[in-house]
Amino acid sequence: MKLDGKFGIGNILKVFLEICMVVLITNLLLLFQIVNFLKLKFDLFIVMIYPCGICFLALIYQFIKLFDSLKNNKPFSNDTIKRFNNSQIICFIISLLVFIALFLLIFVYDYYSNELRYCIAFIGILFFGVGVALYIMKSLFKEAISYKELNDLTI
Amino acid sequence: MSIIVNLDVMMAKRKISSQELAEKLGITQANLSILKTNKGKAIRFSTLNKICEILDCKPGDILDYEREEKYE
Repeated sequence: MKLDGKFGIGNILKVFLEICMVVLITNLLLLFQIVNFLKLKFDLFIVMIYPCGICFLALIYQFIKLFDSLKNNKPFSNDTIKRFNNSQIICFIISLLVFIALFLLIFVYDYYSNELRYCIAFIGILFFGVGVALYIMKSLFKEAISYKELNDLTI
Repeated sequence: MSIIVNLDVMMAKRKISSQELAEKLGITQANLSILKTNKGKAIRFSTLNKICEILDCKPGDILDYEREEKYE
C-alpha cells in the first residue's frame, strides 16, 4: 500500500485522527455530564482531564498536519520538523500532567482503585517514551532533510 | 562559499545560450541556473566533464577560488 498520495496510508490516518478529534472534543464538552452519570466525585483528579485533553487535542492536530504533508508528497520539509518538535513538547507536557494526576491519586484521593493508579502511571511513562521517540524522529528528519538538500543542489 | 562558478563568462565567450547548454548537458534550465548563480552545493565530475567538452575549456576556466576575508 502507498504511504503518500490521496489514497495512501497517510491520508487514511489523517481521516481517522480527524474522527478522533471530534470524539475527544465531544467527550471534553460532556465530561461534567459523564462524571454525574457515573456518580463520580468532581475532584481535582477529574479536573486534570481538561488540560490533558486539550494537550491531546493539540497533539492530534499536529499529527493531522504531519500526515497532511505526507498526503501532499512533501514529507522532507522544515514543516515536518516543526510538527515533530511541537508534538514532542506536547507529549512531555502531557506526561508531566499525568504524573501530577498520579501524585494526586496516591497522596490525596485514596478512594480510587490501585488498578487506576497503575494505568495512570503507565500512561505517563508511555507519553514520556513517545516524546523521546519523537525527539529521535525529529533529529533523523533533520539529518534526512540536510542530505536531501545536498542531493538537490548537486548538479 | 569561496568557490566561484564562472560558467556565464565562458558561455558568453562561446556564444551559447542557457537553453542550448542545458539541452546538451541533459539537465534542466533550473539546475543550470543554480550552477550559474553559485547556489549549488556540489558538482558531479560527469557534469563538469560534459561542460568542459561542450564549451571546449578546462575546469579552471569555469571554477575559481577566492579566499574569504574574515573580519574580527
